[in-house]
Amino acid sequence: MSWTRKLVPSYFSGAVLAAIGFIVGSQYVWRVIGGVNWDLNDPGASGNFLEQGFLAGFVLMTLGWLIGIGAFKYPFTWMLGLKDPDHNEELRLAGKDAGIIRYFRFTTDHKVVGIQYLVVTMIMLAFGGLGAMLIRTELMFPGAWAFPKETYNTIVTMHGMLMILTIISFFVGPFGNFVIPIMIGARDMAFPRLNALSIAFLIIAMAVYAFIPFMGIGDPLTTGAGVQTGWTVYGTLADQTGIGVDALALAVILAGVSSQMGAVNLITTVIAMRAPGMSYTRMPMTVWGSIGASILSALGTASLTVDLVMIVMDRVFRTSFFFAATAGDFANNGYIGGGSAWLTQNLFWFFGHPEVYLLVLPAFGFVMDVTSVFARKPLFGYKTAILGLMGVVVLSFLVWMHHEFVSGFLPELRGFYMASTELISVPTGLIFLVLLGTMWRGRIWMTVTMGFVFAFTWSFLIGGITGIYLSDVPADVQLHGGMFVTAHFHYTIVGGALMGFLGAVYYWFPKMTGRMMDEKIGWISFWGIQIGFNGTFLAMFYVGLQGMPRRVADYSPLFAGGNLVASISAFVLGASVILYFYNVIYSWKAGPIAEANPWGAKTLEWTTPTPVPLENFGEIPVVTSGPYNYAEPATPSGVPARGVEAGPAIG
Amino acid sequence: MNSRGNLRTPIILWVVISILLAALYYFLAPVLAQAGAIPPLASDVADNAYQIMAIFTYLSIPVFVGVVVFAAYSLFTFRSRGRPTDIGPQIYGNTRLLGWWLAASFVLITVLYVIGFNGLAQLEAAAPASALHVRVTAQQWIFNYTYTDYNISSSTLYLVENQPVEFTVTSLDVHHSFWIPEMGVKADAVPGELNTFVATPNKLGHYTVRCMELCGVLHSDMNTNVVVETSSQFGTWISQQMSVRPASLFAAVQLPEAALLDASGKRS
Repeated sequence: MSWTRKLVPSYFSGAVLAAIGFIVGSQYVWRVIGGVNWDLNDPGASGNFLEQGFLAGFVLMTLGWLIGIGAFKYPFTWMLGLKDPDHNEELRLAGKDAGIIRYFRFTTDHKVVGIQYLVVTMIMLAFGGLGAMLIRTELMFPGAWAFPKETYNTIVTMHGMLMILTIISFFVGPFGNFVIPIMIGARDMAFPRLNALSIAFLIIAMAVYAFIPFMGIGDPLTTGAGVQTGWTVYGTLADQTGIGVDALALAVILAGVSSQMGAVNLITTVIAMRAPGMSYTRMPMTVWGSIGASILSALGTASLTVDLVMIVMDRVFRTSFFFAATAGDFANNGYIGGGSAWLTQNLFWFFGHPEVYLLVLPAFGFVMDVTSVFARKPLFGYKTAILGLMGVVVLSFLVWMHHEFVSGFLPELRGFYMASTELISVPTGLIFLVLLGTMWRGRIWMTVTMGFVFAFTWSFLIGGITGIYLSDVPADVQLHGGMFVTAHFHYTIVGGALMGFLGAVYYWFPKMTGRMMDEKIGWISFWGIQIGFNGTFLAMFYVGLQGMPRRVADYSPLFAGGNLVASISAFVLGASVILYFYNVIYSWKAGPIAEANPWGAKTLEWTTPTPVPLENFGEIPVVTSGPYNYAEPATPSGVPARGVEAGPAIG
Repeated sequence: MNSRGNLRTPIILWVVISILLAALYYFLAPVLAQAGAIPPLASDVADNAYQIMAIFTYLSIPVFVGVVVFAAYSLFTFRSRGRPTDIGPQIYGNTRLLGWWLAASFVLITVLYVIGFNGLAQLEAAAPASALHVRVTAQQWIFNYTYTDYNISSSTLYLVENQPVEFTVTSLDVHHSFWIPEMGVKADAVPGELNTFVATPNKLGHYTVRCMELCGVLHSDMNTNVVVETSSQFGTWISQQMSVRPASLFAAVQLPEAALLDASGKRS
């Protein structure tokens, strides 16, 4: 039957095998190893069997998913020497003539993967935002009035970690995949199957993540369901929280592997697949920013993976990586001891700090690119911009211990980490120089994207300046761990990365979907987002200065005023983001048809027809100038005077 | 065509708005502090921290205003109505401006370093011999205080005005963080490790201790009281405590912590 050939393999068959895998894995541990008479409510041995069953279920679920979507098909046919795929088969795998189903299966075309990433990350963003709304609901009034405290802690954890996973992939995922290969004049990513695999990993990671709030319900050994550790998942607390931490660890490891695969792929693509004439100094800044982010992703994520593996080992196999040699411990908890609680902080933040730069670097590149486009001016200092981006990349690995100024770990090193942290403001300042210089005497076209560039400038400036307060040890000792910090990093991450993302969706929407986004709804949602965002986090700065700690379900009436303002503003922000999402969905279906180059940009992705054909270019273009030469005469197709030569075939 | 715009207007705006904001901050900050925008300060460490924050605020006003003024001026002056029909001047950068920008950045960074390292030196000054020694033991979800000079334990922290105090912070279970907002004292309580912090309370009164690191269900309730009192009041309290708690009982209470300290073997 033809529909079975269409649906197998696809994400649907993958989902079926994933469900079967989970049931087989978990039931094997619970029913066969645990025994027929094993009782969930028996506090003796039940905890471990419960966790081991879930872990086995998750592992088989992942395997089932990968088998079901056909990810192993080609590696195995090659390994067994059965058949080498020819060009036609490669094209079929890339979704040639497949219709809409190509978005629901293991498809290697980078544009399909980009759209898949866009949809998946926007769904993740919606759930992360829901978490934020729930947090602000609880904090609207003093006194833990909306949820029990353990539920609140789980919401905080899930909001934090989900948003981080979202923001890691919501720029280099959708745009890094869809746009960057075309930007550098390539026909696809360097490793198309790895690319399809990375989105498949992200999807299954999110499926595992969705288990968290339900795990541990009715478990007598832990206090409530979910994970109550905050996104830092310090090993000491993670050991005694609900069994949801196993799902969290596995989901984050899978998502981390996904982002590492994407990073390696992107770096290789940019190094190896650039069109003739596309030298490193002719690449748009978006490419540079995404490369910087990919370097951080490839090098930093491993540290978090190690941390989470150790946490699961401590929980399930009773190792003691994070437990010091305390005499009472063996008797009380069954640990041997000899570990270090500082280790979990170091492993986490060695990932954690490069990671926040990984979130904003692509947005840095993007805002510089579009400022040039909408001001019709070249970048004010191309090499200055590269210096800024790469300076941040290098320095970001040298600052992580500023998260541990009060931890007591090697206090004599605090001076060094204070100095390196403050040094990072130099390369970041260069980005602002480039932005301001590019705007100066331009022809600024105020599209919604450009609005988000100004919003980025405003928010990241506030985020950066408050970061200076936190980099200074005596001031940080007072502010550390409070709402001031929360407000600061939301100004950098929401104000930096999210503003960049929202602008980027608006900017590349015509190329990705063939339709323009609605401008009027765009501006309304833009102003709603700005008012809501600034209201929320300026109020949060205020309660932070007043002395409100982070991650508390309940607080002193002293902080009530600021929190009420923050909550109401947060609901404005939430409503505006919903309006933005509505704009995306509505315009995707019914927006006006876009021309090939609606913004008049000079980068290569706008020289292709819309929708972009399967192998992007009929002939690979030969690049003869930088991406911002607005003085060059444009040919009717929008391509500047550039020679062409026949490009190599795919594969 | 756009209006050309000039450099003079934004520079004047920058200077004027910066001065206005600095003046506003100068006059408004004490009023806001009085109204509860920051906790009432009660130690040398807190004074130090808020002094640094005030200097930073004065330093960041021109930086903030400069970027905002130039961006806003560009937005209003060089804005094109709808899609631009011509292109802007093709300027590819300005090495001299870059040089000045970098120079200004490094000057600002140097100022930050001077302030920061100076403050750090004050923060890290060793406890004088007259210091009161308090061992803070955090556990879910209480703080327990041991006065090692007197072998006394208490769940409320009593301190003496103008007497330096050395806190040695540890935890029995998970990460906590010991914070006295009014005194600017903050030290993570890390299981199996000792973390010291020296401060001198300089104002009588009742203050709070908050836990600053998510430590489980009742994290938000992990608040206790601090009382800063005169040395004669404190002496009375100490002698009361010593009389009601015999030494043998005290030893039994202290056993788990003593074992912890022996076994860790580090930083004691």
